[in-house]
Amino acid sequence: MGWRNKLRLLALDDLTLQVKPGIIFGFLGPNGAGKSTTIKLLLGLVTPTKGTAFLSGVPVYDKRSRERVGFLPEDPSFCAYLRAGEFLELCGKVLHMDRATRKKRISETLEMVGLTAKVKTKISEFSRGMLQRIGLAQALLNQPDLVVLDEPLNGLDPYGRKELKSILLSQKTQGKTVFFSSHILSDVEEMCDEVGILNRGRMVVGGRLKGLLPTKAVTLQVQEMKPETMTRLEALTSAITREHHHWTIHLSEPSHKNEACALLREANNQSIEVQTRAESLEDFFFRQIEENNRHRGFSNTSAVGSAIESTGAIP
Amino acid sequence: MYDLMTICKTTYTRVLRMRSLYVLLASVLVLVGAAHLYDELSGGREKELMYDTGAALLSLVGLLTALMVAFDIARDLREKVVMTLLSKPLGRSQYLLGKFSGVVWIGTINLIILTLGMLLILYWEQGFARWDFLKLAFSAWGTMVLTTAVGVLFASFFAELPAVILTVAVYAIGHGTEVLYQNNSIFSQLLFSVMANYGLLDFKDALGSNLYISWKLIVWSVVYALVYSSALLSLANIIFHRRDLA
Amino acid sequence: MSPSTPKFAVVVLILALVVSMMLSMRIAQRRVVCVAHGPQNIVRAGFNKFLSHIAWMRLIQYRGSLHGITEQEARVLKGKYDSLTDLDPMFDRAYEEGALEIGWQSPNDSLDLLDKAQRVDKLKSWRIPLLAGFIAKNRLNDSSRAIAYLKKADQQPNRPGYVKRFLISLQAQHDFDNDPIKVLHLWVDYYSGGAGQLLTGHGRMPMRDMESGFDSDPERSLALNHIRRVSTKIIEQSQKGILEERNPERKKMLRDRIDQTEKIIRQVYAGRHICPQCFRPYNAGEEFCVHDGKKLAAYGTCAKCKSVPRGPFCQKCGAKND
Repeated sequence: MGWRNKLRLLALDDLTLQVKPGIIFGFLGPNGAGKSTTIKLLLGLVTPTKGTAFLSGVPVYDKRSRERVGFLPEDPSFCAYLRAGEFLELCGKVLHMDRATRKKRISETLEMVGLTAKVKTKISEFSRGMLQRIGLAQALLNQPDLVVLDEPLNGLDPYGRKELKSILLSQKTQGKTVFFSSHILSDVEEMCDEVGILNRGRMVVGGRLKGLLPTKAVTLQVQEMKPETMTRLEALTSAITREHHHWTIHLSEPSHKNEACALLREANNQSIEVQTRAESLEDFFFRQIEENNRHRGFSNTSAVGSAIESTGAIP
Repeated sequence: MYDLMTICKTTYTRVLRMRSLYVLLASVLVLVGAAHLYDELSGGREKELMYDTGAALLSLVGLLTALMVAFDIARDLREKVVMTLLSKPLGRSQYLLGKFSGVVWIGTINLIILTLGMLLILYWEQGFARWDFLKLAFSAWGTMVLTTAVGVLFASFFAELPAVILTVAVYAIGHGTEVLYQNNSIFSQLLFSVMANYGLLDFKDALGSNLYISWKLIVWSVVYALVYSSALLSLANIIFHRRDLA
Repeated sequence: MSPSTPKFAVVVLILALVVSMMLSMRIAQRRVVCVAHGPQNIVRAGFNKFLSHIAWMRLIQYRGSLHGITEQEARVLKGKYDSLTDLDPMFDRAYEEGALEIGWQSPNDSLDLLDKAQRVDKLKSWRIPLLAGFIAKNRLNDSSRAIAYLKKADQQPNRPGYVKRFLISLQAQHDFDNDPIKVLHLWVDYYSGGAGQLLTGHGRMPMRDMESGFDSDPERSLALNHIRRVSTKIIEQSQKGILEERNPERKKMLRDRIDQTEKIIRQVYAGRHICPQCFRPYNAGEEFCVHDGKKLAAYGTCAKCKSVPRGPFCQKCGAKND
């Protein structure tokens, strides 16, 4: 397949990634960054040309690595000729669940995703949202320790997204690990404990979300404000506002915090409430990608060429 | 084995729910039922026509049932249904073999129904039992198993249409490989032994002409089909294991 | 090999391929013995025989549309029969009917079709070479070719007796002038059931109907007729030749020929009294041959009154019959 070799692109370049158990990990990146490829690699659907991957210590090429994993693919497509109940029955059998457990879990997961009434409906008659839901049901059927989702929020209406988010958060409270990729950064920011940003096959940055996002703005709240204190603070602030029972001081730079606090304590020995606002994940994401592209000599046009991912040609 | 049987049963359900299967069976039953018209059409050869029509239908039903596996696997790959299944602890070998077994199972049932129908019709119309039709049925079963294995092989790395076309092409070419055997060159003989020789399983002409073919030869031909199918399935397995399901 | 490549599958692939290669050669060898092999067939993915029925039905329709057969139509028919028999080489009726249909307008095409049939190893038909022999003789006047076909017909199982008789007739016509004694032997062997059977005394069957002089087996009876005719012709021609011939060696040869013929006739009719001219047997008491009036040596009569006694004493004169 020589001609296909010429078309091969490097989908992932020296990717090293480690996800701790019991967290929600958000995997971000522009189109064509290699997120789906990474997920497929973890699930043994794609073979790496180099390197190893493990799920719970089991190499990914061993099917036992997937015994405690649930997966919801992007734009899911399931056995259209089966009914919802039959499809979950099939998944349960493949997951080696015994009959009683299977029966119980099928009804539980259908109830969880709100498809109990559709148990006898053929999957070919499902809408996009229903497919996503049945996909989630089959992913959570055997209460896996790791749930992997590829763009799970795509195509869901606001209610669907809210339900999905609450399900994922509930998985975390049960001690499960959730690993998902998404473009909806606000949801990622809301849910994830850790994130990783991928660009053109390389990990740009990764870690705890709170630690990654720099502080963007600081506000101080005090009960009392003297006029001379206000004058002295003018150079350090962008605005001082009076609300019901307190004064809010908006610092012009986060670095002015200590100086402003010192001034306020000197004027009135009172408690100062400090509020910091971090940079948004969206801003952080764009900044990281642009810096990475510049560093690697790529232009910053959106997703040019990144639509071509590795096709996984037969070597 | 449990996984294999799970996929096998699912495939069986899938094929059973295909409308094309019922259209095929209905057409076949109509042709079989029209046997009493054969004497008007055949110019005195109604007995031979009935027998040969039954033999041809066995081959046709076997071929069309076997082609369903090419459609099924290729469609699963195209629609990415296979990703959902293989993301679970299901081996790729079990998936392929399960698909193969499901189609062979339903093909076997189809052939049994057709064979019983033909035996009854032949007995009714001709007044005696043509038990040698069972030899045809058995060799048709071997052909169906072999064609299914060919379909699995092509479906593991081609889309639906090319997989089906190639399977039919191998079926057609495979019936003419005897010319290679009759040629004495080493290359021809080697090519003959490596190719899928459907001609070795084809006894329609001989049995239809009342030539004696022993059960031993029929059984060995079917054994050949099963062994060759194993080779094809192993090759399909190797290719499928190396295939990236992107 | 990557961890994802199943080693077991590789092993099975190699083993299964090797075994299937061996099996395919063995089975192909056995098939050659059991299955009909004719000229290069059209391969229609195993549906040859079924398609031959379709072709047959279409041929019937075409034949029904013809009013008489011209030479061009004969050629078209030949093409259609060729295609039909390519699909089903064992369809003996197609060869026969095709050959008969076009035999008059196009005897060579007809023989071509029948030759094709004879190349099919499992098609053991006596009718096909018999028909070929008939066409070769009657349409092409090719006796040698006709004899070759009839010899093939004679070798087929379950052929009727007239096949052999037709063959011998042709051989007799073809060889009489060169070797009439050989022709006589051919008929004698046919009559007695095998080559040399009469001379060894093993094959001769007694004649059933002594009154009529005919054997109740029609073939043997016909053979006997031929023996007589050929014998008569040999003797007549030889006697005429003796009168006309001046060469003493040739004369001797002709006399020897007459002697051989008479000897053979006597062996055929051993124990019977036969007319010395037409070689037909005659009954007790007859003095002249009923067929040609030749004076006969009477036998089985009463020594006194010359009537034919029916018991130990003569019914006419009462003399004792010795």
